Amino acid sequence: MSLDNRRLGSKGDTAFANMDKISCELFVMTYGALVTQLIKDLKDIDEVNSKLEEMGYSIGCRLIDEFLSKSQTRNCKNFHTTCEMIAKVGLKMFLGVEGNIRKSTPTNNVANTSSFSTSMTTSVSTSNLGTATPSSTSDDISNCYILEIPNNPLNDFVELPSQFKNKLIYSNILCGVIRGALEMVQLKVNCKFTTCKLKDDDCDRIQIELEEILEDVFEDDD
Amino acid sequence: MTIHSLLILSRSGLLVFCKDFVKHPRLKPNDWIRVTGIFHGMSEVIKQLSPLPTKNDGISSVEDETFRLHCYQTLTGLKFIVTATPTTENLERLLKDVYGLYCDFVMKDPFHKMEQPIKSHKFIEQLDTLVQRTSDIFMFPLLPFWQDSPYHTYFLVLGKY
Repeated sequence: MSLDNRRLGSKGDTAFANMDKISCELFVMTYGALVTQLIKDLKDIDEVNSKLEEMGYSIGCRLIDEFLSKSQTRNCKNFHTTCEMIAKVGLKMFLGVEGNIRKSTPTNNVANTSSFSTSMTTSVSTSNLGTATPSSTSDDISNCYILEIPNNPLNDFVELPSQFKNKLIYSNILCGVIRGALEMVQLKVNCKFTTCKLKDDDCDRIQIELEEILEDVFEDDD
Repeated sequence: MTIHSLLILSRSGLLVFCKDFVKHPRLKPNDWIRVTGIFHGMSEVIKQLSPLPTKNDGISSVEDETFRLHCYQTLTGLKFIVTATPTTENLERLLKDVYGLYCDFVMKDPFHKMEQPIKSHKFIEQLDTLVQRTSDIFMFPLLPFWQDSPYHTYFLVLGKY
């Protein structure tokens, strides 16, 4: 596992080195301005949260291609690897920071793990394809992970006024990005912020929960 | 050695980009739409036919005595297709580079809508230079005359730069 992490880490570093870069301050300030403007325009904070998520979704739909192309990634073995990939490579590529993955308990129990592993297995593990049993996978593969981002750059220079503190999810755009990006690779997920540094928690945490694997259905016309 | 045409199909199999680098004697631009439609359908059927339960990418290459077709399918379902003369190698590499250009110049174009034809001028410009460069690189080592000559390696190196 640690070897895997290191490999992903170095992959993230290479991908980061290949990216065009802009000034972090400029980026952070622009995002801040965007959120402030949204609050001014929409008034309602819940609406701002969902709008941010929606914007992130559109970004994610387009960003995934760049991710796949520049990081030279092929299929992930399972949902755990997918999340690791987001934490170590994706975040590094686009935000310049790394995250950590922790297993979490899903809020509602969906699709069993075995169906996931069979439909998403890579060529690496073709040998045990048909034989993957739920018992062998359920030990280490979960459908729900928590992505920890210790140094979320979006939070820099930000202080939430008290009236927004417990309502506004400042970095909600990240949830949208993850949802949009994964949907383009046939994974329908549910993302939400559980803790946020701006709300005096110790770390930013995003819960990523796999809902289902979308299948390309081959339909008859007549 | 020569790249003939380059096509891009969207997730749903629509032809979103088509460029002929060498004019085709028979196919008109509209015919490409039909051809790629059939290709997409065939590719889907091939996926269903595969005996292994793994996800496969459908048709990846088609070869003929007169030309060769290569298709690179991304995880997002896009298909990049290139046709070239049979001796051309490294088409996969070329298609991956085209994918890179697609990300930089099509996906980041705010006026581009998903599933709509690609109109970005920058993308077309960059594509032209890429194809030009690819044809140049492989020009030297692939000429049979040089294959056995001591200059072969020299030209190989020269071709790269």
